[in-house]
This record gives sequence, C-alpha cells and structure tokens, in this order.
Amino acid sequence: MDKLDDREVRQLAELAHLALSDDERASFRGQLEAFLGYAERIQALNTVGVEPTSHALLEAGLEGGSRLRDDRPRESLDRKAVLDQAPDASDGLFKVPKVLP
Amino acid sequence: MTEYETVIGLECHAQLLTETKLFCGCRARFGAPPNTNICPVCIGLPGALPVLNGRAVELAARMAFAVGCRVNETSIFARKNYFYPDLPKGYQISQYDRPLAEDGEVCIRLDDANKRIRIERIHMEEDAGKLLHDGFMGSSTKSGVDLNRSGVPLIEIVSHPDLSSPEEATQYAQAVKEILEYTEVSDADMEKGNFRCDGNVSVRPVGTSELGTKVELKNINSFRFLARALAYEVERQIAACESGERIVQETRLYDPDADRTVSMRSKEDAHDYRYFPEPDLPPLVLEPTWLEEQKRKLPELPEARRARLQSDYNIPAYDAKVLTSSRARADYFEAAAKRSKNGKATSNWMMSELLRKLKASGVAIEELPVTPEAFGELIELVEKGTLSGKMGKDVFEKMFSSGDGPAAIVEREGLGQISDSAAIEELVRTVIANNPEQVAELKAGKDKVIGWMVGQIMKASRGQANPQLARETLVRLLEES
Ligand SMILES: [Zn+2]
Repeated sequence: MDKLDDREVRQLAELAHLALSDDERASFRGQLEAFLGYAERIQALNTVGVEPTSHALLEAGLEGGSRLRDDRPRESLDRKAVLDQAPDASDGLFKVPKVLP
Repeated sequence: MTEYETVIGLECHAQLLTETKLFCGCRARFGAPPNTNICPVCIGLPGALPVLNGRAVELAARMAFAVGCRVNETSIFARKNYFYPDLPKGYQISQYDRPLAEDGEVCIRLDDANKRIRIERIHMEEDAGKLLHDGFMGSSTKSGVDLNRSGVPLIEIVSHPDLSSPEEATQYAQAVKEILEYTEVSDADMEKGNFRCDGNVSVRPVGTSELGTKVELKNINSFRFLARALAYEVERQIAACESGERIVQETRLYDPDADRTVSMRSKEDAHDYRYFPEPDLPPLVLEPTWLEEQKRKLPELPEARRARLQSDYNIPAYDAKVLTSSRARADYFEAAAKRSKNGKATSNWMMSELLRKLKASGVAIEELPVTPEAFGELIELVEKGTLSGKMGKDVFEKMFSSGDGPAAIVEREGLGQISDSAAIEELVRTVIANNPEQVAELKAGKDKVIGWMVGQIMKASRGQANPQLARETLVRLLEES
C-alpha cells in the first residue's frame, strides 16, 4: 500500500525544516504510512450520532457558550530574564541571522 | 486589440482595540519598549496554553455584524504552520475552514451608483512579531526580533473578487477602515500597522468568465500605495498577456520607492501551511442570545449617520459626507449643533473655519482646544447678531489659541456688536455731519453712495456696529433731514 511516495516525504521534510538522509526518508516513509493506515481505519468507523470528544471542555459541555478570558492585563515576563535564555540577544532584541527585509 | 478587465479581491487585516493580546494577558498596545510585553504564551514557550480573550471575540463579532455577516455559533481555531523568525511557535493561530463569520457586504460609492462588495469571511487570528533590520550594531549580519506584537488580536476581512479597478479597491478599503473606526473595533491606524491590506489581482479578456491566474500583493500599508501597487500590477499582467507570457501564481511585494511590484521567491510549496485544528483551544461556541445582544448594541454606521445628519440638520449631501468622514468629526458636529441650535450654520462654520484651521495647524479634532459646546456657543452669538461674522472668526482664532470660551473673549476684548440703537444713531449722525458732499450726492439719487456711507459708519465703530442696523438708521435719518 503506497500512501506516500518519496517525493512527498521529501516535501514534508522540507516544510518541517528537517534534513533527512536517503535511509531516514525510507524509514520515515514506512512509519508515516503506518500512521495513515491507522487514520484510515478510524475514518472507516461509523460515527453518526457520536458526540466529538476531541476536547475535554467539549465533554464537560459548553452550555452558555465558551469560557473566555477577561481583557485585563497581567504582568509580563522580565525582559532581561527572557533575553538571557536566548542564543543571541542585545539592544532588548532577540538576534537572528540577517533576514532580508 | 483585446480589452481586459481587472478582478481584485482584498484581504484586510485590522488590529482589535483590546487591552491585552488574543491568547494571553500581555498588553497589546503599540509603542512599548521592545520585548516588554511578552510571556510564555506569546513567545511560544513549551507547555504554555492559550486562553481566548472575550473582548476580542466581542469586537470581531461587532465588525461581522456591521458588515452584515452571519456569525457562526461554532467556529474553530487552526494552526497555520510556517517558519519565520518573527513567529516564535512556528505556527500562527488562525481560523481556517470554520471561521467566525461569513457572507457580508460593504457598499462603496462610485460616481453614478453604489456597488456592493461581498465579504466572503471574517476570521480571528494572532499577529506575528516584528523584525528590525537596522538601527543597531551588527545589523548588516543580524536582524532583531521584537515580540511585543506577537499574539496581538487581528481580524482578517476577506472580500470576494468583486472589485474591478484599483480605484474601487481603494474605495472599498477606505469603507472598511471607516466602519472599523466607527464601530470602535479598531483604530485602523495604517501608520502603526494596525490596518494592512493584501490584494489578489488577475486580469482576463472582457467577456470571458474564467478567472485569470491570480497574483497576491503584500506589504501595502497606505491607500496611496494600494492604488499604485494594484495599478502597476494590472498593467504588468496585461502587458504579459499581450506578449503571450504565462502569468505565474505568486506573491509579489510592492516597492514604493521604485513604484513597482517584485516577485518573492515563488516556491510552489511555500504556500502549503498544513492547517490543522488547534488542539490547545476548544471550538469557540457563542450563545444565540449573546450574539443577538451584540447585534443590538451595534452603533450607528457611517452610511446611516450620513443620511440622518442630512435630514435632521437639513444640510447638503456633500457636507454630510465631509462631516461623517470620521466618527470624532461627526460627534463634534452634533454636539456643536445641539448647542448652537442651528445645524446649517454649524455645518457652514465647521466646513469652512474649523476644518481649515485643523488642516493648517495639523491638530486632530480630538485634540482641538475648542470644545464643541464652545464652538456652538460662538455660532449662536453670531446668529443672534451679538458678533458679526468677521468678529466671530476673530473670536474663533482666539478660542483656538487660548482655549477660552467665546463669552470670556468677547468680555475681555470689549468685543460685541453694537446693536444699541442710540449708540448707532450717534455714530450715523457723526458720519453724516462729516461727509456733506456724499450726503448731497445721495439726496440727488446716487444710491450707490449708501454702501460707502455704511462703510464709514463701520469704520467709525471699529467694525462693531451691526451693519444692518447702521444702514436702516442712515436711511431713516436722511429721510428725516
Ligand atoms: Zn503574552
């Protein structure tokens, strides 16, 4: 069952910014096909009349609409503490390799 | 020669006027020092969970109702996946196949008719951060990232491709901006990047119904650039069609300095955003009663207000259009007209003196030192004849520079038109006595001299005599003598 060809795996890897070797692509292709096969089996199930359970909150019910947050500001993080974690930062900015404007 | 028609659709992004971001409590306001409004949610730290801002939903729904959209009781947030240094999570939370609202319309005015531009959808999404390319050491090899903007709430308003010229597109974008401002959904300030447009442009030979290959234009942050970018792109595409070139589906950037559009690397796959439902957010479910309430709370919209001002204050269509070009301006007019009790005169004063002064001084109407009540009072003084039109203008200048009310200025400067008949009579008698030649001419039937005589009376009163009363008194005294 060929659900994915090598070109598609290559494309997915590119979109995910992953550099995969030929061997890795072959191995991931097999694994991805297994995922898709599993999804296909689930999709074959008859779910008419079955309530979605994709979210815990949905299971709890959404009587009265979604719970939403009040538009009240909260303390943000200390800039120095955050920038200290970054691989490169100065002038209050994160620094990244030059991006063309 | 083949004739072509232009097909344009616009995607307008507007920042919602909330205090905080879409999914966290960081402040959403413009102008803070870089990276001071950031938290685990909006910089994408692992484990942080988004919680939707209720106010943002309210504002988005308000705009949807203002343009006649149907607001869906259930909408779903989705991840739009791509890599860019201003996008810390590697995805933007947006809405995809189940947006907040669908199927609305915005009316634009063309020379001879109105045209309805259909709105396909309005969805909510978060903004990305901001990249800085210069202004710091090492900017030739590095870019800076400020994440204050990351997670700020936006709505995207997507039109159908109903626009047939760059002019129509500009009109439409202006109409959308106006509605956003009127409903206080967004300040829609283009300079701050709070209102931006992307355009989808294609051309096709007149009479064909199939759409041409569309090109997406990005990076448009002013109405002037919008018109120019679209016009350039339309011309480019027509020239390409004429020379038998194939138009490539791509994204192009408008370069205002060169006044042309340039292709961004057109990687066919770059547009594969691999949307999927955001697992960290449940579907957004809105109660029908809540939706009804939002619809009811909708303020008066520009078109409706224009019509109402025209009939309530008996002013021309043109004046009504100018006075409603912003909500602040229309509010000012109505408050002033209420005080002056004369809509037509208030409109005239605003259209001439006030707008001229605003333009000359560069002051915004919101910052005007003259309150609408004081402005209305001034107009009342002129209408009652306490001040002549000329004096009224002088008093207005002084109100503008001092911030004082008209009554205080009239008092302080000893202004006020002389409408006291005894005082006027004395002035007229003096002028008659001093100008025997002209009086003789008048008596001989030279009516034109009367204007000159009134001029002398005005001069003698230093402009303060009521000219109507001066003329009547002159005629009466001459007849009596
Ligand atoms: Zn935050």
